[in-house]
Amino acid sequence: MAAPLIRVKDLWKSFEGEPAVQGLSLEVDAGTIHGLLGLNGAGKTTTIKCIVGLLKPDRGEITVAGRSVTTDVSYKPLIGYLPENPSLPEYLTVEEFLVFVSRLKGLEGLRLKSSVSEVAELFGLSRYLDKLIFGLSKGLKQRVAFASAIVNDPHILILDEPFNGLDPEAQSIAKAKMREVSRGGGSVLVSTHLLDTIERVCDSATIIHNGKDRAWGSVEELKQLAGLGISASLEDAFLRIIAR
Amino acid sequence: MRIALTLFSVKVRHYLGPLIRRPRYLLSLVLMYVLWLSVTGLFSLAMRFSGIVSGSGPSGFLPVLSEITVTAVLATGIYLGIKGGITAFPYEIDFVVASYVRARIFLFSDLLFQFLLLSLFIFPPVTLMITTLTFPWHVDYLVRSLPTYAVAISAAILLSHVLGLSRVKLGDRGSRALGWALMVAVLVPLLLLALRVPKPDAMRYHPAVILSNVIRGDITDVYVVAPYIFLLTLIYLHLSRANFYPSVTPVLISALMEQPTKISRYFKFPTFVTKVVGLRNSGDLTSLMYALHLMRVVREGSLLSGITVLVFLTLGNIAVPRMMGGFQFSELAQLTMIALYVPLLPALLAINWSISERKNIWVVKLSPGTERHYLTGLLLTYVTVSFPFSLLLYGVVALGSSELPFLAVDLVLLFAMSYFGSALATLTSLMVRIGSSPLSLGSMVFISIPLIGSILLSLPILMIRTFEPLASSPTPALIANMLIYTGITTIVLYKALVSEGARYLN
Repeated sequence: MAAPLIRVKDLWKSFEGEPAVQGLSLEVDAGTIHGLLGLNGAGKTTTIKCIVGLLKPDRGEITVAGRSVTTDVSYKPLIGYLPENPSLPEYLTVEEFLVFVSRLKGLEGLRLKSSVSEVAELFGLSRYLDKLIFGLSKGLKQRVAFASAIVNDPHILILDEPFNGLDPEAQSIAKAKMREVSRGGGSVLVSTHLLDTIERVCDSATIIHNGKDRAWGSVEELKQLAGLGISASLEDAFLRIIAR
Repeated sequence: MRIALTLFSVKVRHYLGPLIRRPRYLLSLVLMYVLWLSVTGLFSLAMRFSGIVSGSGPSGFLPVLSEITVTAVLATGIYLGIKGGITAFPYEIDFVVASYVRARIFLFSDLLFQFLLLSLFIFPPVTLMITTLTFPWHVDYLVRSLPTYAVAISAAILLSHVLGLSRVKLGDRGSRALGWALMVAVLVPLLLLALRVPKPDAMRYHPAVILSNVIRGDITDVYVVAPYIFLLTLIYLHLSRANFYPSVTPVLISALMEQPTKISRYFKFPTFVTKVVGLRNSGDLTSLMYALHLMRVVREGSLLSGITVLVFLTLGNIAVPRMMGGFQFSELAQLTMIALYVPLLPALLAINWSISERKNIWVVKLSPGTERHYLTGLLLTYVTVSFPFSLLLYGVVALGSSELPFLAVDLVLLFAMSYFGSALATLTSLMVRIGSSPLSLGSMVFISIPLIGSILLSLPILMIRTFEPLASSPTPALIANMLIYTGITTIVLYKALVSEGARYLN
């Protein structure tokens, strides 16, 4: 069996003495979509920020595509990341921002041009390309942020609450893209509150509570771990697991 | 009325934030006042001694300074008006503007708030300045001048609100155009002085001139200023009938700058520029970052705000000696003054970077090895903006000067102050996070470190600038030494920025 593309082992992170993540471990295999479930403040965003290198873990080991994120940054061109509530440079137009991100990810010339056009087309942004990000609605800004995450056709997608503010059409596009990445042998790690999304889209999930991993497995396995039958909802299973 | 007072008290508590809850922040406010009053006090003392030397008394220079300070107060009101006029924090837009609170009640609470805010910044230094300049007759002067400044502050707030309210009738563009027209009108006395044009008689009825005459002791001018205030109040009351809530936008979210909330038309670089520094060009990552930062400072309004401050300072710098009449301070000294306040421009840009751009760093940090390019681009942008602009101001002042400038030394000095100020502003903005309160220590540090630091680093050049034979005819060896010193310091600062700065880029 191939090694997991994302591997987190015994991760610890605290802020001013307040623990946010306490010994969390998770694995995301190649060709799968993995969900990260938890209440507000459970430690999902902190975990994701540690994985993408925006936060330095206090302790623990994180590898992405076999490379340690604390010592080898060569994994970064492989990932596409969408933060929770992404802050975008509002003084740029949509096109300028996508070009800027593409250039940061090493795209040049014709490839850059076609990639920008493709993602803009995919997310219905073509008619907004010359508009400043400042004037866009929250949903359109989220589309721009999602488009920037996939502009380099990443092998690994890390998405923090990606469906925030997205309309059903854009959600459907986003889910299709997630499936495309996993079918292509890549991995998707997605944090979301939408339990039905986890049920429909994810192959497996980890439930986080108070910074610790409480349970992980496929949706069916999570229901069994909660002591519920296959017909029970994931919501019931989730609430049972965190109540333990 | 009770609702207005409640809104006012919540607004004050929100604005001052941790300042009124944590001793550390209270200390920062005290320190800021100490610095602010020290600068005003030292300036007033210097003026007083110059007056003694030249034989002019308080009646000679007080109207001069009053005219400048009153103009500054009115210009501040107009500037706030151009930015939106009505200060509304995001929470007010979400919860007050959307509620049943009548627009006029909200407006009145904001009037009280703006009066408090401007008073906090204006009354203490004005009291100190007048006391220093007029001692031992200061009580008489204070009795006359403090109410006059209160009138000036009230007029400034009315102007600010009127401009904000005028958006309802004139639209954004019309209101901005009116604002800039008023700004020019208010600055006319200073402009005339700077251009050495004699003041026409009609200028006697200019509000800034009238108010400064009152401070001097010409009480009859009170009756001349009254119709202005009456007219302004009438316009204010008329405009405040309109439902201005849809035009309210968040302004004054920081102490010194804030982002314009609407960019109706954005700036595009000409094609020949984008070939060199555009986002699309095939240059390296540094030129990409350079293009990004240039676009930002131009489009979000940081540059315009910074330049406005510098132009106003230069006007004051030119006008003060010309207004004094009795004594001249060397025009060559005015040129040095420009170099001394040029670091203000990168300092103001750095404040805005910290407020509006720092949160976008995640985009850059996802790509390995980009931090160095990002910082280099940021530094280059500040230098690109501040050095040519300082040269422009220098050129304008030098053209009107009857004395020949010390060209070689001055050029090195201007470059050194621009570069050192830019590097220190960049480093400061990386290492210090602006606190939630606009009156925090962070805000003070952002201004004082680039200003004081660049003066200290440029001290060798400043000393050469001070000694007449050295400055007017520097030997090639002296110029070479200056260049070597500036070059080495430039490299050291750059190295420090890219090696240490990257650690704080988060």
